[in-house]
Amino acid sequence: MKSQKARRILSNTIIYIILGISAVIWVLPILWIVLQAFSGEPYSTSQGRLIPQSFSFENFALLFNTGAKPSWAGANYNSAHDAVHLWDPTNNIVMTGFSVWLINTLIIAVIVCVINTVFVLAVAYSLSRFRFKGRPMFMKLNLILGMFPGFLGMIINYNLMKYVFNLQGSIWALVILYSAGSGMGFFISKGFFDTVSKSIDEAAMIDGANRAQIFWNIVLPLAKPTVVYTLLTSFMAPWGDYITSSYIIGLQNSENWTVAIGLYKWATDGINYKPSYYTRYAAGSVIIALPLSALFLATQRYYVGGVTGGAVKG
Amino acid sequence: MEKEETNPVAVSAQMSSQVDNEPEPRGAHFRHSLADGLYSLGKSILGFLLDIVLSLWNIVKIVGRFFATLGKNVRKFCLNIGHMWRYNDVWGRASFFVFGLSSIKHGQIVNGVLYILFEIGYIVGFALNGVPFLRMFFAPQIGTPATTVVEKQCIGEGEFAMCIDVEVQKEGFNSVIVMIVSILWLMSIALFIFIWLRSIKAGYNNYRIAHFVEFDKRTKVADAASKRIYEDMETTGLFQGASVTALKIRYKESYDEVEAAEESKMDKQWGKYILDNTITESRRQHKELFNLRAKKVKLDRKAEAYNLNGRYTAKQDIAEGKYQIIMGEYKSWMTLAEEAERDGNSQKAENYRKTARKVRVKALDVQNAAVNRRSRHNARHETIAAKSRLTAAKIVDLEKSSTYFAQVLDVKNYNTYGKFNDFYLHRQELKEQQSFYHHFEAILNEYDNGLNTYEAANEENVKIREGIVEKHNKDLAEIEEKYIGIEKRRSDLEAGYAEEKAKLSAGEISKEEYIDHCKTIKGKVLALPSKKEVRQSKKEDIKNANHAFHRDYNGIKVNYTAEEYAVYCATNYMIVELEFPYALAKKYVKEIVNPEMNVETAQAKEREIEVEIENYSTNNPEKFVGKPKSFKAQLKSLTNENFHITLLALPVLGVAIFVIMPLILSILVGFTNWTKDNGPGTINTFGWIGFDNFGSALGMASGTGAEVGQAMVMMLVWTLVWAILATFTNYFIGIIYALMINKKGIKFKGFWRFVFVLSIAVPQFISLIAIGLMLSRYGALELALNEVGGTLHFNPDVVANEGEVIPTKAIIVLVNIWVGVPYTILQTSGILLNIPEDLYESSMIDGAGPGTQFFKITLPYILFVTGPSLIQTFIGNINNFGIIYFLTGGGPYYDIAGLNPKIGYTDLFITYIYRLVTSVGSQKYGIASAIGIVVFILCAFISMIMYNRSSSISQEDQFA
Repeated sequence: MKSQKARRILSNTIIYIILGISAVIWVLPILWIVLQAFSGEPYSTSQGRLIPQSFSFENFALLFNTGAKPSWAGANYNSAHDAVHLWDPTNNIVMTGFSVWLINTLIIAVIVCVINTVFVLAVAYSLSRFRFKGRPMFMKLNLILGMFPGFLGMIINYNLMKYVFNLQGSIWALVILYSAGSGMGFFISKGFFDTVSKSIDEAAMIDGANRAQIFWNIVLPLAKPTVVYTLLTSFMAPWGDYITSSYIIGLQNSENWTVAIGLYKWATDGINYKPSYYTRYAAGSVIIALPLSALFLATQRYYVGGVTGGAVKG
Repeated sequence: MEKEETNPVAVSAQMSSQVDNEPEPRGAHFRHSLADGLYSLGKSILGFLLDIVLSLWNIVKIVGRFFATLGKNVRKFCLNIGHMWRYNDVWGRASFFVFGLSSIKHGQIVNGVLYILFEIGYIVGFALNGVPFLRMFFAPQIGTPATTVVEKQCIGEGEFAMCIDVEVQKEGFNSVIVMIVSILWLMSIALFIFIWLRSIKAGYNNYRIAHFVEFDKRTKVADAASKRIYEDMETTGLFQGASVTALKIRYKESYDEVEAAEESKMDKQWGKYILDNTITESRRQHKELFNLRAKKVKLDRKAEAYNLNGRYTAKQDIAEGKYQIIMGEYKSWMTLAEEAERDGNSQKAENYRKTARKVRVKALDVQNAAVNRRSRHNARHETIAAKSRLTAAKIVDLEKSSTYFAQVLDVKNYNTYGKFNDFYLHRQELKEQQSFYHHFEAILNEYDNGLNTYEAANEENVKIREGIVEKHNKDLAEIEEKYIGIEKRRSDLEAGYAEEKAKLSAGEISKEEYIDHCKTIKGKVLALPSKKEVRQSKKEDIKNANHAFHRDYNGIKVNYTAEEYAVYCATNYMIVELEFPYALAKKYVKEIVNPEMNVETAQAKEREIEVEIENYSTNNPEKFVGKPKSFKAQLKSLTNENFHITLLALPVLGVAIFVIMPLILSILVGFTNWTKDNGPGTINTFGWIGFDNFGSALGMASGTGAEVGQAMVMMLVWTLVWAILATFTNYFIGIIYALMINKKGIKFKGFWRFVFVLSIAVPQFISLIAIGLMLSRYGALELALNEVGGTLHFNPDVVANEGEVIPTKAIIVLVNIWVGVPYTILQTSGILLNIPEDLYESSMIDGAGPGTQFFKITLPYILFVTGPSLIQTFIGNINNFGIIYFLTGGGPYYDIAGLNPKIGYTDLFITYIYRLVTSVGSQKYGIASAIGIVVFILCAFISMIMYNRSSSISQEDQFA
């Protein structure tokens, strides 16, 4: 009996040690970003120590200095600066477009989140409650589309936006692309609708409600968690997407960039493999990651339910 | 899918059945699990090879089936079109060519006009825009290049004009635009065909609705013959051997008979149509039923034979014999030990006991093997039996639904075309009324009867109520007793601990024996439901009992007034004996209470209605005007039975234009020579080059071909290795972390979980860039390490430094663990909490260590729940762009001269495609697309293999 207890204590200690080390490893990059955001070191002298030698709020102040031309600005706007930053030696400030990028991304995220939610819920509901021709095909389509490297389609979409819709480098092109294909992401919501009992529908139908009324007045209120989940995930997506946005908007139109493009540029632009603006990247990251992380942590239980629920259904 | 049928539960059942009274020594268990592990490893390797072969075969089968069904469907489609042409009037046939003519004729004017407008608009648009684009699309060079035209440009007017020749560039259609527009046109042809079919169908439906009565009559004429043929085929069994032509000759008489009975030419044709279809349909139905029955017999026989399997019983007998022999040996060792003890030689006794214990382990081994064999045998038998049950269910369904063709057609008639038949409905209503008055006397009798006997009924009901109360009390007492019994047994067993302890302190038993006995007792206690379970299940039982009681008790009425009871009796009679619908019975029963009604007036009323029906039928035989749905009604249906069309329209349009169209197009681009020099934005065009891109991707182009080919093969290998490593490291390490966090006795569970989830919460590209920065040359980690004297290089941009390839790859995999493990933890934590606790406890009694528990309980359980999503994770990892792109960008690179862009050691296909397209000075879209097609085929093949595996599992689940 005694040896068993000793063994348990030993194994628990080992687990605590492993978990402790892992916790440090897992938090380190995030902690590093936060530390760099408050770093007071000049931006090109070091390459980011683990712990900066001095601290200041300067990086955050620099973020919101004036910068790139907003897309709604007048025609005479003079953008004589290069894409990422402007070094103004006389006033000794660095100008950035961060606030413009923030607003761009916010506009995209809000619109996309509304359209996506409507699309996803519409598709999920009709696949859950209606049996029509082509339904099985639509369900399988998603799997097949996932196997093809999505980037190739993006090339075509870029040309489509540029030459057919005349939207090159515009945030509206991104809005269209983000929301157009969103109907394919119906799996989690469909799983949820499947769990809402059909007898409720039938009861309502006997009472004379039509399908549209059932959807709006009966099923949607019951499916509030999945509505919230879809809203939040589609709101979060544009903030973290670099590849699509950078390809569609292009690296020249810095006034139309999203936050992701700007941050990536800051993190990687530099001399001799030395990124020069990583502190500003860190500050910007902190600003956008804070609300997004909070949103995610608030909704993670839906995420877990969605993943495992979908898995059980096979 | 039923969760209860899974492996882990079955495993636990076996385990706990093995527990019995004899705890098993630990060594045996280890040996078992090792042997089992080796066995299953060998099995899974063999199985994997078999799966590859099987999935190849499956692909052949799927392709074959695809073409077979395609052929069948095309034939069906053509027959259908022919049918709609043949049984139609001029307007219906005209709407084959001019959409919507039939709709206009039959009052759907808005529909018709819309159809016609669409047709004209589409044809004009196609002629003006579609044809030129498609012509360019199918030409060897897609699109038209820009041309320079010399134009005269003048300044000033009249004689003072100064004119010069200026070269002006006139833009052509660039190839990509031509492709996009052409594909959109090609996709629109599908829409056009869809609308065409709708118009044909509308024409046919209109005709059928307008001529509903005629078709009804025609079908009725052929009804008897159709039924006769159906039954004849069943009794004679002709559905097996005879061909359709032979059957037609056999039933010539029926054909003649129907032909004679029908009048016009179309009538006769319709009769023939019914009989033809009767033959084919009956043949199909009977055949299917026959095959199913045969299959069931075969399965039953197989199950029986399996049970009587001689080898199995022989093996079990041998095992039983062996067990007896070994146990005999064990007993003799034990008696020797006892004798030695009696002689006072305790050392010798101990030695004998040790040998005895070893022998007993052997016996347990034999017994375990036998139990395993039995459970395997039973499981297989159960699978066959389940298949047989499924077949039986199918047979019942089919027997219920199968009927002769004329009947099918009749039902379809009324459902599809007859619902607008107001005349029919009205007559039905009258007939019901008539039936009520016809039976008025009987119903009145019941009513009077009720008036007289209501007191007796009340008394009776009071008695029944008393009975219900009594039964309820008895039920409650039984429940109480049952659970008290469990608790008593538990306390009895637990008292055993004290007894054993007393024995130990008295020196009657050794310490080892004491532990053994305690384990046995604990096993028995654990076999009982836990206290919490008892409480819950008792609560549930009582709740159910109460519910049933209230339902029964309230369902019985005791305070009937005379009239209430009489009405109840009359309604009951109408519903049960006369088969009135409930609502109608309620409605008509009011007539009984009407003081003006008596038997005579009822009879008079019956006659009245009879006359009315006759009049209605003679006066309004042609009154039936089938009216197609109005446009307004169709619009309204978009919010009701066709609501899904409203919901799906925009999303599907979006998917078609922005997902499917680009996908088709990028497949096509793989067969063109689109590069930087001839794409949009240049004055050139590109064209079709067949399979050349695939050749140059594989290094068959001139120059540095062989090296490129080698590098591409290495890229394929690395992509696969990466996908496997990334998927499985994340999966297993994640499970281990989840187990550690959720282990009993570990504190701050919420905190540990939060730490891991935090790394998901931060957007991935942010954390990946941060890690990339920290790992880069002169990065934070290198600086920190330099200070303590270490070195670390993660500098993927250097060319082909062989020494750095492996560390770079390792670091990528490690970073991927950093990224992916939290996801697994998040997923599996919930699942781990769902695994029943006693599975572990009972297996612990069984002597299973943590390792065995993990492999026998935890892993199978988690695999069952998350297994299907592993396939998608694997495919996702093949196309995992972000991590490679943000960390290394593909480097370090192979040193191949003249290749732009360079191939990297850590390149996956997807990242190389990205660089092929984006790197300055290359932009080889054609080759990129060709590689994309290869990736697609690879993914499809892999998921086919995986699907093959998992489908066999899921199919078994269906039978349970």
